[in-house]
Amino acid sequence: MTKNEFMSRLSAALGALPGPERDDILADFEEHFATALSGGKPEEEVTRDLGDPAEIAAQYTSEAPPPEAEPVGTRVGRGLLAGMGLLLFDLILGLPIFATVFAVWLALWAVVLSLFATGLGLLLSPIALLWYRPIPWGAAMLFGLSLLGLTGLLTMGMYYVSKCLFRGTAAYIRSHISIIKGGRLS
Amino acid sequence: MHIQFKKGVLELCVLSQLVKGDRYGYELASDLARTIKIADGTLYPVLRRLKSDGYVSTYLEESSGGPPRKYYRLTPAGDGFRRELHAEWYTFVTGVNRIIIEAGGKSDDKK
Repeated sequence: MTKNEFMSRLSAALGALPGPERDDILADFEEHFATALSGGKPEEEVTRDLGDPAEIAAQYTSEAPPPEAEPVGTRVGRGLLAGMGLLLFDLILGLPIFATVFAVWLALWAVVLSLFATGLGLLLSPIALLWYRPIPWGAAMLFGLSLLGLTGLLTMGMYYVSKCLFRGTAAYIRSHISIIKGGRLS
Repeated sequence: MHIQFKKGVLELCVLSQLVKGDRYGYELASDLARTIKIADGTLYPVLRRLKSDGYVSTYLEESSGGPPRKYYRLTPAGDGFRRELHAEWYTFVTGVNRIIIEAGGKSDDKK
């Protein structure tokens, strides 16, 4: 293959590329030929060592083109679509689950609070003795005290449960906002 | 050879060739072709990609009795990338070697 043949085949195979880029690539090969030929290497040998022009061109054209900036319109549209999908998902599935979890959480706090009230009431039962005699007030006070201790432990447990619940909810909301904004899940 | 793999290896070769100083395309191509038996033309797409990624920069310099030559220079980012590829290559080759040696084979094993 002669140099001209090589260059015209390469140029044709690079047809998909924009003009300036193609010229730039061809200039690299012109330089390669000029250097090789001035060193006394026969033209046939230079083209043989270069390889198949179509294969070389494929290496340039198979390069993924740089991702073009997405028009803002489609991004907003996609965000809107994702947002509507998420809204539906949240209404049908998310909201009932969240409501249930929240209700259970509230009920647990109510239990803790009522245990605390009972404990406190029993502890203060000697005061009731002034009106109502037959209560074994020593045992009642002891029971009340242990109930208060239990309440303390339960409060600590519930504190951690609440923290996890709030964090989970916040993360859930954040992820949905980021999807609607068109970003990825973080 | 797998295309992605070959790309990575050639990038490592070119970036390593530029560590000791700037070179021009023909030099790089003929050195590579001589040592790892690839077609000279394979190199130019690699150089172009490295340039568009900012791993090498280019400049033209007059040559004695010929057209100006395009020289390639390693950028700091390119050197960082080279180290990364170098480490990956080393891990890969060490792993392959271990498998080969465990198999107990010799390269001229004839049975």
